[in-house]
Amino acid sequence: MKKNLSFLLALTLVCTSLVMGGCGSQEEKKPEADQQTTPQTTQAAQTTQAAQTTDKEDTSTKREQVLNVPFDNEPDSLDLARVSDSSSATVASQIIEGLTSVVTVNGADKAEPCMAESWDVSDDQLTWTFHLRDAQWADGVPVKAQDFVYGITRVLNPETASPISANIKFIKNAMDVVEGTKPLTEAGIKAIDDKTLEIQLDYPVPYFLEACAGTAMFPVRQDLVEKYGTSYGTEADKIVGNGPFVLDEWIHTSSLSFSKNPTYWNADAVKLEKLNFKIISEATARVGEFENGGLDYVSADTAEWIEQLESSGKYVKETINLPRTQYIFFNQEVELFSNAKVRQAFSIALDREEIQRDISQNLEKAAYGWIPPSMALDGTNFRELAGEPVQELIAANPDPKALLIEGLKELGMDEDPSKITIQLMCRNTTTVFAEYLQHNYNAKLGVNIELDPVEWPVFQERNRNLDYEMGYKSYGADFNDPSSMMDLWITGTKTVPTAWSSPTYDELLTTAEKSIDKELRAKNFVEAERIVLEEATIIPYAYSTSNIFYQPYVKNIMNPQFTATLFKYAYIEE
Amino acid sequence: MLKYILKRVGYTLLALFIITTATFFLVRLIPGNPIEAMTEKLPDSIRQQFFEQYGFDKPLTEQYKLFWENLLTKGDLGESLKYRGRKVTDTIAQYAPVSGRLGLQAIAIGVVSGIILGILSALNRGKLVDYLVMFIAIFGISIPNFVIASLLQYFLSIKLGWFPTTGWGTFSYTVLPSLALSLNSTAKYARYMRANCLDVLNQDYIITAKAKGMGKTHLIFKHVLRNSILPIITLLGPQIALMFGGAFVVEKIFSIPGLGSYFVSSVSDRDYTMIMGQTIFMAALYIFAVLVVDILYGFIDPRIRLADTKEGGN
Repeated sequence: MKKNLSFLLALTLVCTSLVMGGCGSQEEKKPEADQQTTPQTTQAAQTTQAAQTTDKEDTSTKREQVLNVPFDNEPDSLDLARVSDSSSATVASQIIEGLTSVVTVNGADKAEPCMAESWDVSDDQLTWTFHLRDAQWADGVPVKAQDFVYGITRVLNPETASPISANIKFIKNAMDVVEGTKPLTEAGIKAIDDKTLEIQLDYPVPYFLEACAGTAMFPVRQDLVEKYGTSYGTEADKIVGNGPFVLDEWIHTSSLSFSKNPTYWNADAVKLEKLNFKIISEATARVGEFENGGLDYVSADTAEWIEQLESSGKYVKETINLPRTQYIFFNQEVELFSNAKVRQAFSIALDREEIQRDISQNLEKAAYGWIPPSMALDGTNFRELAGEPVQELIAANPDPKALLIEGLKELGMDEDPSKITIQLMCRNTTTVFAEYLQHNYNAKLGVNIELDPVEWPVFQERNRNLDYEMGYKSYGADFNDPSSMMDLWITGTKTVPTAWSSPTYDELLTTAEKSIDKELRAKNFVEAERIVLEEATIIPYAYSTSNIFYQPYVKNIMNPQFTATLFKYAYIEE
Repeated sequence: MLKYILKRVGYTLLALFIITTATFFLVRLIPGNPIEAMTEKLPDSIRQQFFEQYGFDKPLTEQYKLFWENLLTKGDLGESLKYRGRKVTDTIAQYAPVSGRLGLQAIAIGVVSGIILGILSALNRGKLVDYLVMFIAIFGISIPNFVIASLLQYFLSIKLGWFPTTGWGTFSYTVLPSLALSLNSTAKYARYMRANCLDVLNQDYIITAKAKGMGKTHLIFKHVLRNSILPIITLLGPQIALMFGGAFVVEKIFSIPGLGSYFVSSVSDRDYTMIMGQTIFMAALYIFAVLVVDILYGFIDPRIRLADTKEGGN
């Protein structure tokens, strides 16, 4: 009996092996057939296919209105009040529209009316009344002012513990509500009727209409949140939008596919029929996919990729200045860094042009200010107002080492820099720059630097706990106002703790932020930035840029600086 | 036999308990916590609300108790800390089949080609075929699968355009990753098969069969293959289990929504609940596979007697 059984088993194994062997040989043939039957929107594939297939009419130039977009990361969730990642915001912004949306026209960002058809603002700029248009959610339910009230109060609700509540801190009583000291009903937002929404602010906000396009102010359907509970927004069928596209399918960590929303209020303006996001975390694969036509654009972040894509001459390149500054920061509880002269020495000893030339291969811009050049203050470019404070600092102090020794003297420490050893906390993925700093500071200041590479969560945790000596990272502004980046250094802000505190700085900013006097705001912000840079609280060294390559037939993708990329006006040129 | 199985299942559960407990405390010992990224821009009071929402304000022992309570009473492994609202159990159910399919295809290719190559090389011992197969085997074992994956992707997809570069969907998407994953098992099985075949070929009963004039095909299928395939089965069980856990680098290269790449990102995100869920899943799968192989072995090879199997001898 047992012998038979064992024989049987061995036999089935061989048989299945043979059958599978059959599969193996089929494998060789099938993909070719697949390639021809699956509609691929690849340029290369299309041109060759168009040449081969005659049944597809001879209009080989006619392309389908399908856009394939690369995506680096899986979106956390479409329950926007509970997440803060940009991937989620980008996905949501294609299917949901707020009161306004920010579009890019001739390189400039502009808020255009969306769910709000028009609005009135009081003279003190504190009360905004929005008149909603007749629009509907993709399931046919009309969009009401109450949806906005629910969406915004949900972000402010302490029970939500929303990571994006600070984005709308200007709404009256917002921060008190978030901290639980005032009830939800005290928040400065109410629906006057189904189509009229009133929002009250704590202080005038020059960028308010742009902020209305952000995810923290999106309308949310209370009935759906209650229906799906915690799983709201986790799958394609657990979210309903009111925007230009409908999310048809969401294969987690792989792809998202959208189609045009026929019930969208401005559907006539939407030319794309399909929109596909492909989540590809490997840069090599992304560029490869772009080169063989599977993606309609790609962002290239290394000099090699940029050179390779540029030299092919086939693509259209766009360079975008991001509202993001890269900087070095210190823990000023460490005795050495509690002295301004020491910090200044570190700032002056940094050759920012050299960093660009040798480390970043000129992909970015050398920074001599904190607020990046792409940002404005009440409509005027901030850098034009503020000049280049770090350059002035360098000009005034040609010898960083002398300054360092002076600082050491003030501290009463040993005046020999070679006896100083500093731990440089860095992300384990960016150690090349850390090594550059190590070498540079040793050559110019004589100090020793030890690298302390850590993973990102650890970096953040140690930063927060002031468990570091020196580190570097980048920070991107959330909205087009210097306060978005200047607030970081107000006493007690926990975003990037450095233990630095300046009552003058705090005072300058709080007055500027509550004022509508443009001159006073300009004066205060410029002065505050100067304090941060002259005290070398932080050392900015580069402004980030991003390089995007488009297939030549892709038109009108909008990349506003502070809100998500929009595809509603994008199209494929025929 | 039944007693033996019950005993083994008991050990399995004990092993699982130890693995779960160790993982629970170990992941919390790694510096950095999962909600740091999310609360970066928040004041302390709101951060506190976050911690409370996830129960991180409670002492570790209480969190541990809560974990078992939820698992045993509700079969609930909790929600992902990164992808808010997604249940760990749902996520595993969604990702594991993808990795599983990829793994099974790779093993199928590996077993079939490995067995064929192994037999070929054993029958042609010392000849060119033998050296060729052994070259493939050493190549396959020493080159990591992600290198193969990148090469396949670059040449067969980006350059030649035969297969999709990344993504998941139709069969053609699975070809390159399956091939990349299979090379290692091909090599392994080929070597095992060759060694076993040579061993079997030298046995007296083969010589007897040959002397009696048995045909070559019959000889190979009836006697050689059957006797030399046993060790392959030993390897197969755990390998199938591991394949469900995915091949994280290959999955990442091809952007395949499988469990492997997800597991790795869970660890770097410090997504505690997700790490727990996946560890339990993979450990259970692995231990179960080993158990099944052990039991199967007893059926296939009468020479092996399982402990305490008095009724197995009849």
